[in-house]
Amino acid sequence: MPNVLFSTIRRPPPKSDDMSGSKPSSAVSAPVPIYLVAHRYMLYDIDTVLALRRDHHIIGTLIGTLPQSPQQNVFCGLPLELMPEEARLLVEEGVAYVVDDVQAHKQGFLDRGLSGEERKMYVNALQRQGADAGRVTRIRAAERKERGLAQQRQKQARKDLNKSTIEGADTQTEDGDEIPSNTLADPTCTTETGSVSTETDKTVNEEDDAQGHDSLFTSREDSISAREGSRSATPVSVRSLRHKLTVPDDEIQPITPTTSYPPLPQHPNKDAPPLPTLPLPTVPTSYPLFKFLHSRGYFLAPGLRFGCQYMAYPGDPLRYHSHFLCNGLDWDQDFDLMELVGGGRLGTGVKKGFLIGGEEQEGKPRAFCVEWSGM
Amino acid sequence: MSTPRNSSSSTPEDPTLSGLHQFIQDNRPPRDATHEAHAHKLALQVAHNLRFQHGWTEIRLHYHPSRQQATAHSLPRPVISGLPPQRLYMHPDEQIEVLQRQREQGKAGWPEVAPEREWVVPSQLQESWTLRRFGDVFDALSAVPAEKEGGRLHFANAIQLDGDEGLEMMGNRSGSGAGSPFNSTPEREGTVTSNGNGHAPNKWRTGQPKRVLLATLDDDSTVVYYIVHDGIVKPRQN
Repeated sequence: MPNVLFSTIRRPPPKSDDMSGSKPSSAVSAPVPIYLVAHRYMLYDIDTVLALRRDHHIIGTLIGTLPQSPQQNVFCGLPLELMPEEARLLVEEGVAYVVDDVQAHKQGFLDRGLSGEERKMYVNALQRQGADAGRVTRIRAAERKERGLAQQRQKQARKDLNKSTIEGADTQTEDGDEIPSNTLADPTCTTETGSVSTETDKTVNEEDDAQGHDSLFTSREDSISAREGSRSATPVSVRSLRHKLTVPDDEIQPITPTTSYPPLPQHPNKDAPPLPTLPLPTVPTSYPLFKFLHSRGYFLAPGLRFGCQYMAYPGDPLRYHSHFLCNGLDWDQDFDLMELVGGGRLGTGVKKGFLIGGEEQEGKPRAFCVEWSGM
Repeated sequence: MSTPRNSSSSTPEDPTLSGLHQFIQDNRPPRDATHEAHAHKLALQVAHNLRFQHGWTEIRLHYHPSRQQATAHSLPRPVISGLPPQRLYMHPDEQIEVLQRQREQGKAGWPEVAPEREWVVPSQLQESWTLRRFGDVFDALSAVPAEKEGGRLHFANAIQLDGDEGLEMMGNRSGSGAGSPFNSTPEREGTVTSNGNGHAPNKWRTGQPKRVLLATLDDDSTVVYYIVHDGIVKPRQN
């Protein structure tokens, strides 16, 4: 059974086209939660993402893809993943706090967050959604089949016409063309329609083929009408499907909910114990350099593309190319001069500077920029 | 870097030594220098490369921190200063300014820009550095190498001139002591010329972070130079 994702968020349409930043950042209540899921720091709300980008020049990485085709990743959507350095910086500045997402959900759903009857209602709602989904899928499949059959009939009629004009009347036709596969997207229908198409090819008195195969249509009147005449068969069956209220159990599709806040209350239950505060995110030794560059107004992105730790943009990455490939080090950390040479060469080749830096003393960061001299 | 042959006398020319080896023999470190012999020889090899491969002039070797703008007590390794034949580095904003001025004056292309004196820090490619070492080097140097600091080097077949060195390749023996070998009049009053008197220091030199050229000597005797800035300086438009 295909798994169908339904979103229950109903977003209000944007009130105006004003994206220039005059939208008050109080639309996002500070401090914002950052969700820690399996060692990754995630944000799911677009308003938060925009506010962080605009006000705190933190960009993160969008990692959301289509569920059925994750390899289509030229453009990704929400959720946004933050680097540990970004998360720590936001927490240190008091802009955000980290939530252990798993813990919060367990507590929300299991430990008195939801009452027994609330949970039951939610589960029933999910089942109803699943039933709706199943019905919609079936209706779509039936419509596709109807279209396919109509095409099939037209083709057949043209063939008969040709035959009758050329060779004389002969109602017996050759094996009909298969219904083009693009009209049948649902694989469960193929055996079905294969047998139905043979039905339309042969004359009406060969009805016994219609019996004994699994019928997509469970109501008796459907199978009868299918046997009687192909022209009126499918429209009736689709119509009858729409009016059917009970859906068999095997057609209820399982739903994975994408939001937590219809089932969970918007404002947490006051009686629930508070979640334990998490420690600051652990960051690599390059964090002082990150903080230093961020304080100078640079937008920092992961530097995996160029074999460095960060790429520093002088402004929004959508408007500027990055200026520096950055590596943060301990003040006394040994590094091979070859690495410096490699970084400097690479940087010059792609019109960027190679920046290395660290904390000379507590709270005193210092950076050096390397580029090839040209001689 | 292979060591030169031990010879008791350094001044007479030994035809069995290469030019570089003879040069190293000819230039002993001053007695008050505390650096090791290999650091000295490395500096000499880089100085030789600057002079003969790249045509630098007024090459001087420094063993002590600069008298001005230096906060460190000692220079961790000998450092070279010299004058490149053309301007080596122009800050991207300075490039824009120069071009704008050209446009205002109705000219096309680049004007003549006088070269600026640069520091060169020698290093071997296999060395491992730390950020602290870079910091120490920068702390011991001034923003612009001073004219008369450091020791002159003895290049064979060169006339010993005070401060200037006539470039044999140009056949120019006229190099008078105080005059600039590069007779191009600076287009802007702020350019640092080789003699440095009478001209205000270039604001792009003093307003920007310090810079040095890091010379990396490889085992095949090639030397490649990288510009290192003591701060965040945006890359040039190349």
